[in-house]
Amino acid sequence: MSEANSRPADAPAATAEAPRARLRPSLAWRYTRWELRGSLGRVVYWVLCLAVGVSAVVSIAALASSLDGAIRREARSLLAADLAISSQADLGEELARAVAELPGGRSAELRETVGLVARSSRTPGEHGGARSLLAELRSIDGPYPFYGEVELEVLPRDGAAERVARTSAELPLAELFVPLGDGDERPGVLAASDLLNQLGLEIGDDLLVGRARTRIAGVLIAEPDRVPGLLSVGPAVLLGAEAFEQSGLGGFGNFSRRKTLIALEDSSTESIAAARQTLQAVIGDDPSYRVETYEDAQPLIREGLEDLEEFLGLVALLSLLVGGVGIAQGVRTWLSSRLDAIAVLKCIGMRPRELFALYLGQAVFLGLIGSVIGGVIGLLGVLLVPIILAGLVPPDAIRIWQPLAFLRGIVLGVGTATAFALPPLLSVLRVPPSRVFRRDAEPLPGSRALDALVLVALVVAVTALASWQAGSLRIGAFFFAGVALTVALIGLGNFALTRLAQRLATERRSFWLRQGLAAVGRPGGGTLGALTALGLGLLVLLTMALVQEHVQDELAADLPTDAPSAFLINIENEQWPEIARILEEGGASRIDSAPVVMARIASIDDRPADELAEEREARWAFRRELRLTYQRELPADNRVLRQADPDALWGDPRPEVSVEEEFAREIGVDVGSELTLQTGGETFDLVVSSIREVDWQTFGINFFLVVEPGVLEAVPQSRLAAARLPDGGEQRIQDAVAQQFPNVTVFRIRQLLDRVVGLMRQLSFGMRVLGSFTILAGLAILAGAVATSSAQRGRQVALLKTLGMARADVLRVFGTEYALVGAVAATVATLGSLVLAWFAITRGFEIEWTWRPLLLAGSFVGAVSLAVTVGLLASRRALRVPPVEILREN
Amino acid sequence: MTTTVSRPSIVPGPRDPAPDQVAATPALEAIALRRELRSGERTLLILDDLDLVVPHGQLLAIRGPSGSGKSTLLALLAGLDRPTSGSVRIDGEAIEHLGEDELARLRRRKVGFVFQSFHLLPNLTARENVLLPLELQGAGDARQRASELLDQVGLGERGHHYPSQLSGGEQQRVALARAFAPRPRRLLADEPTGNLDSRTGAAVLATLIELQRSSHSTLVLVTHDEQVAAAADRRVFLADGKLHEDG
Ligand SMILES: Nc1ncnc2c1ncn2[C@@H]1O[C@H](COP(=O)(O)OP(=O)(O)O)[C@@H](O)[C@H]1O
Ligand SMILES: [Mg+2]
Repeated sequence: MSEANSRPADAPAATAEAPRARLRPSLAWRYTRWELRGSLGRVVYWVLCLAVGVSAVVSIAALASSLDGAIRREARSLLAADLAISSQADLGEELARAVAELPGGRSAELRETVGLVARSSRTPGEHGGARSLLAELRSIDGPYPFYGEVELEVLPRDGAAERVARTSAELPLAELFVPLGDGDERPGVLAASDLLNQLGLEIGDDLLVGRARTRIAGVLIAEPDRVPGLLSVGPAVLLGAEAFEQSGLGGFGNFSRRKTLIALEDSSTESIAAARQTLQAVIGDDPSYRVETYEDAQPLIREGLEDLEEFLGLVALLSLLVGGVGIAQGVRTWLSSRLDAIAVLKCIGMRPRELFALYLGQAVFLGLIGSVIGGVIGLLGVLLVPIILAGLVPPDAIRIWQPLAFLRGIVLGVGTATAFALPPLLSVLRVPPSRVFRRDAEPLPGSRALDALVLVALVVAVTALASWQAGSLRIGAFFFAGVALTVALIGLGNFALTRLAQRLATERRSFWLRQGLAAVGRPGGGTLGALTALGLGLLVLLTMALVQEHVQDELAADLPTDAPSAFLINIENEQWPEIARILEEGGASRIDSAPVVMARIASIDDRPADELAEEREARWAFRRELRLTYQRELPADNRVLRQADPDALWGDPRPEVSVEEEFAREIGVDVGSELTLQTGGETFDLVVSSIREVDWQTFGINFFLVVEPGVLEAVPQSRLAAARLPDGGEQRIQDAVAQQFPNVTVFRIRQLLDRVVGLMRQLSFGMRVLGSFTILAGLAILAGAVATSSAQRGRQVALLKTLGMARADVLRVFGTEYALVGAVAATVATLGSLVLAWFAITRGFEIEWTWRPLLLAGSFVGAVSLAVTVGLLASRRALRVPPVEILREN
Repeated sequence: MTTTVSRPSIVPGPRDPAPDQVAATPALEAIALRRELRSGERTLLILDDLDLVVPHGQLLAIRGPSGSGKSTLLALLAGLDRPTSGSVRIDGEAIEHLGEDELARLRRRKVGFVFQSFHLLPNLTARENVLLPLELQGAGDARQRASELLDQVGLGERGHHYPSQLSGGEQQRVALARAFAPRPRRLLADEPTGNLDSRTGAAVLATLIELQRSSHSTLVLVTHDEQVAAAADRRVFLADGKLHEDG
């Protein structure tokens, strides 16, 4: 007998089979289909778990990419030009020449500032509302816009009263700005409809813009290069250069900006780059001129968007992770219903690792289904954003088809599903095949190494997903650590509470409560996962709500009683006594004023500013005009830290200056330094004689540089005033100032803060919508946990019914159980969010903590009632089981 | 032992070893097989250094009181459970050092099962249940063979039914077809008629024995039925952890 023949009988067969020993994909796929059969419930559950989170992820990504795309797409019109030079001062001869000499270059000059506009006393008709308001003014000199269109409404020439829509292409702005003639010499302006409504004006009426009396020529609907809704101080006004000159608002002491828009004959990327180079060469490294091309497309906004995307992306990921907890739970119940099948498959020779792969494959497959559905919902969901964030996100910026966002959702969804399915899937390996003989056969010993490996895989996967979402490994790792800690604490809290529930159940409680308590405490009731998920969702939402409420209330709160509530700028010195009188008569208190001189630092200790700008921390301070004042006594909120002459503030015979401590450090001066300032064509050599500390929180008038009196009195200057206006009297005072002193601009702090609060409300509403996705995911899991155990629950119902319990009684038992689930989750989440929010509020925002009993109680009641509703809905099927069913079970 | 020249389809195909090899080693062997079970504080001795040799082609009937360890013995013989001590050999190869993976492969090739509670996969049709082990083996003619086997057990028309749509007897027939499908050289049946009424049970048993005879496979049959036992080549009785020759 040959060696081969002496081998055991089946050996040749074994050899023949060896190459095919792997589980073939076709069989795996077939088995997957068989498994899915009749398990619509499980598919729905997976979809619910994943779709919520995936759709959140996809929506965020799609929204961000939509907006980024819109900004890039509209880049030319968002700049309204090929290139632009932004500056504080005018271009200067050399630069202006360089602009003029660009090949085929055309340019337009914009000047932007804020100022008071007012209703004229000559305007007929009654108007009970405001007579003046703060507006964003923009003067236009030249063919603006080069790209995009200004949308406006005018009255037709035929004299009809109905406004008609026009664009700047149809009706050049310059034509609107010229006076009508025939005795009407008022220059035309365009004003936003807000302004017209607030001041009670119509097209054709007077509008006082600073000192200029203008005619409202039309209603301004949109400008291509203004992103609507983003923080603005007031309605917009467009006017011509001459009217702007007349207004006096572009002058000295105002915060005005210039922007020179340039369009080239050949607007290819190369020629724009060449033009930029030419201009930059003239500018050198003077940072007070900045050249941007349309390709830079609102870099600040885009950066902000990116940050927001990362933050919101992580919030979305959180709801996906909550879904992951649900998946883990779902896999556990799923497998527990498959133990027999798995044992049989092992008996007929399926290898444990094949079974593992088979079930893992199914998990991935189900994950894919859930993710695709979630992805589609997410893409569609982006359409809702312009509705939620009306005014912030224009509907036409949205593009639904975002393959990258979709792909991101799929990868995150499948990744989460797989990572969370892995640990419970390990139990497949441990199912004892001898279970076919005895249900209670002992599980096979597990491998610790494998357990550890799977856990590591989970950690790595979640960290990787978070890092991808955040665009940073560090943030991803922090995120993971935070979530892991939170989940661990929530789990611990839940465990403790369910234990407590078990304890309580044994004591003498009402029947319903005892049943419910027992159900919550029952091990493996499938509720721990639901509890954790629900708790995490609640925690996120509640923490966000607490922080938002605190911050909003802080911003909306009354200003400190001793702080000024308004600033008046651009006052001419001789106007001050009269303005002070208006303030006093209007009931204003704490009236204060100071002269303002605009000056540049020319040198420090004989070293020129150009040189210093290179090495000192505050580069900007050497590149632009600084506002400074002169006064004999320092304000009360200033404290001198060190001074040259211990007896007198201004003790030195030379001209002196006092410098704020931090600014002194940043520009590198100290007591004894020599500081040379340049203003109004003159230079002033000053010696730093004191360094002082300023309490900026008082909102008082303060300057980095305070010069000794008797030095700057003769140079061009204006006056800045602050006052606390009486409640309700603010508008009256503003109107009076606007009418008598049109050059003066009044900033009302309350009004500005209200705008910030309004914007925050809108944004935080969006965030809460997103945050509530985590709750939704938690509820889906609760529903799933209840529904998947519905067979078991059905048996329980049947049993209870045979014991003589009516349907309503069963309902009560279940209701109590779900209420307790909600209560446990809400308790743990509330405690957790109190801790988190307390830290964020008192440490992060440094706002005083206040209790929010209404919010806390509301969320608690909400959580409990949602849990009861969802739980009962999910147990509908089980509740219908008739008592005879109990006999059918063997 | 003789071989027929023309084989009916049910008879093992090309994997069937040559008859002279079959004679060399027994199909199944248990040597000093011991199984203790921990039950709380006490240790139960279920199988007490039991020895058993089952040659190829034999029909061995095992009887014994309930709880005497018959199922435990079958589980050990198939490598579903691990002995406290002693050894099980399949075709002369000791299996106690094999891992779960290797045991599964061994079963795939060499051992078929029939259970008291049928254990069909509930979400697979009858036909798919039969097909599964065949596909697992990578048999090329899986579909055809599944059809033949269903015909053979009298369920040719019921292949598309799910287990829940079949009676107990029909389910057990499907289980028979599934067990024989991959042409295992040995089958272990644990009270296959235990959950059936006597008439149905008798029919199922007849089918089982017919299949075993025509495929020349070895069958270890646990049963309570004395008549069935009478048809066996050898009868043993399990009591007190030992096997005794039976009648
Ligand atoms: N996993 C187990 N845990 C505890 N006892 C077991 C276990 N498996 C079997 N037994 C006990 O071992 C004995 C033999 O069981 P079994 O082999 O199923 O007997 P039979 O099949 O002959 O009725 C019984 O007393 C049973 O209770
Ligand atoms: Mg038994």
